[in-house]
Amino acid sequence: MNIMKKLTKQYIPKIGAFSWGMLGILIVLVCWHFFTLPTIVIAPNDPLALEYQILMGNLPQHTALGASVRVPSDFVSPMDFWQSAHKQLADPWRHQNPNDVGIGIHLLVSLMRVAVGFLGAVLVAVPLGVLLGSVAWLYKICAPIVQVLRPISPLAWMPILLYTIKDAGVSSVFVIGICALWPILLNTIFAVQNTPKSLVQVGQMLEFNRLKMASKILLPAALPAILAGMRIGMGVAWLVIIAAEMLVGSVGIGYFIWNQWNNLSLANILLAVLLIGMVGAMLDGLFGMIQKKWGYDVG
Amino acid sequence: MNLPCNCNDCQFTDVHDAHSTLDNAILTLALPNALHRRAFLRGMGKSALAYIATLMPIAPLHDALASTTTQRHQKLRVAFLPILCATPLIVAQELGVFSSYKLNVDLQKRSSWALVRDEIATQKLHASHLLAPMPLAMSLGLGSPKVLMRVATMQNTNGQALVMSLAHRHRQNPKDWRGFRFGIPFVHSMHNYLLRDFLLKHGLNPDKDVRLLVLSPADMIANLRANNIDGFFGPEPFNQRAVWEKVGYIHTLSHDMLNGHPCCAFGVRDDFAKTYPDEFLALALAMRQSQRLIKDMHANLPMLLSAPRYLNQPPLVIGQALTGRFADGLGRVQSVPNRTGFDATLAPAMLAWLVAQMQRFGYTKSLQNCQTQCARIATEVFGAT
Repeated sequence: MNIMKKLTKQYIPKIGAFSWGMLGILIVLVCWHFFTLPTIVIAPNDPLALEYQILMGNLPQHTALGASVRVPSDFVSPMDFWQSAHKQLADPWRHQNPNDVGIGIHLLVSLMRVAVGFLGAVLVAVPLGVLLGSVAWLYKICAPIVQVLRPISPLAWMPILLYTIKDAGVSSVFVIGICALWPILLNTIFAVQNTPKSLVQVGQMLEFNRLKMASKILLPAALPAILAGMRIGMGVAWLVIIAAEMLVGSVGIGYFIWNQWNNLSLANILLAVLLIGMVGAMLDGLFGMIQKKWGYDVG
Repeated sequence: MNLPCNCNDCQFTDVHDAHSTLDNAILTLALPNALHRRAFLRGMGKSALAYIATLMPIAPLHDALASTTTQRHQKLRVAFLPILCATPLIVAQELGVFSSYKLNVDLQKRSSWALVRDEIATQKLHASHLLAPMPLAMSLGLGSPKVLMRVATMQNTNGQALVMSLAHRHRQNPKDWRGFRFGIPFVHSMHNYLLRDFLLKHGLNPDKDVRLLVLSPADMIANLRANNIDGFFGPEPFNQRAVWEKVGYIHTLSHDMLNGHPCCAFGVRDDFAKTYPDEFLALALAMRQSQRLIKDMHANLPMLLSAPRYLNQPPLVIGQALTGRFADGLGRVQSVPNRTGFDATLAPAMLAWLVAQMQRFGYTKSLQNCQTQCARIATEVFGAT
């Protein structure tokens, strides 16, 4: 009883958040290891039955009649995962053949597509958002169109774009642009519409024209909300690229998943999923830092 | 073994080269066996071609070449899908058959038939691996804008199968399959036609009694595992892969439904064939050469195909589909030597069958006077095979 009390009162609170996280990962790894342990199988004595087991992939090739063999589990084990991940990550920039390039190149191509599509979305959404937010009648005209276009899935845009643009790579960049556009646009409109009256009145007092009002008052006031919109938009873009590349790409991390899926290679898919998650978290962290640096509270 | 160009009026070296390439190609076509060819050349010397010219129209081919050799593509973009049907393309690339025909081919993997169709239509690709009915459907404007196509060769024969879920291992009679859901790779595919024909023969209406869903082969296996579909009619090596994954069994090979049926074609846009007839011819000859090579290399073929840049599948799975000695998923090892073949030619009866199925299942309903036109267009599209 005393020991338990000591444990809960004195030691456990001292373990930091990082260590807790590590412990969680360790528990998952250990469970994973024990659920995917190899089993010992006795090979059949009948040649035809043995051939059947080999052709089914149940026994390794060239197994002798009646031999006892260690057979790996159906689901990928941590050790298998580590081996295939190591193989992929050891040579991430290989590019001898266009149909077999390294995972680093896949990631980089996806990031480039996201960067271009996202930049396009920002360049369209911010000026348009300021315009729609400050001109009330224009907003009324455009609102229904925005509301209809906004919920359309990237997968639904893809055939339309493929048909009109006729280029798979450009289409996927466009899809990213279209899907990242809405959070940025809506956040900008909302923020500009809700610019504090006092700030607008300062501008009016100084007799600012429309352009100066937008650049000196509305845009800076809306900046935190725009950055928040961009952060969401980047998250959406990174989600969309995977789906888009699975449909069209011959390179990109989404295509990598499709290709490994085609091979039903669980280990490589797991690796790609982990990498996508990590890159997504890094992108989000980047925007978090930008928000901290340039965002501020509008009193 | 190379034959020199023996025309007297060649002024340009590239024409000269092309002639010699063509002559060698013709020679290879006439005498596929390298040993026979060498003996023939040794015996006949320079008169070898003159002798072959009495059997084949060499002069018109040379004339066609002379007018077009000035237009040569730097690089041909050619697509394939990672299935066993693409073997001739992969072998042609890997064993340097394309380069021996002076073709510079950039062989690219693609993920779906619809994508390949659109990229051929928009000229992103010069030539591609297609499902056998696709070039005809495209030429008729079925399911896509109308693009006149021309097929250089067929890629393969047989090599498909109906795979059923292991959950239905005790319901093997198709008569009990009312309400089942099946995966097919594409609407205009031999898979769709063969499956519909098979179901009808067993008294099931493919439009009313069952549901057919278009799925990519990997999705077929995943959906079979998840019980979203009850079976699928897919390309190799995915049928064998379903057995390997212990989710399905091979119910019927397409070999046992319509022996010798074609599955995939290799084709280009009609205007490409007209603008670059020598490339078109060289592609057709290279593919035939590659198909002859395949026959002698069963032993190491699975290893070659299993590379990540090609099929990306276990060699043992590919080997079973290729050799026809395979585990059927129900505990038997079966031997069907003709499970997969790689013939370049399309028998007229098979073409007629294909066109008939297209009409029979109502895909040509939107066309006027298909009764008279479809067969004629089909003959044009598949003329080179």
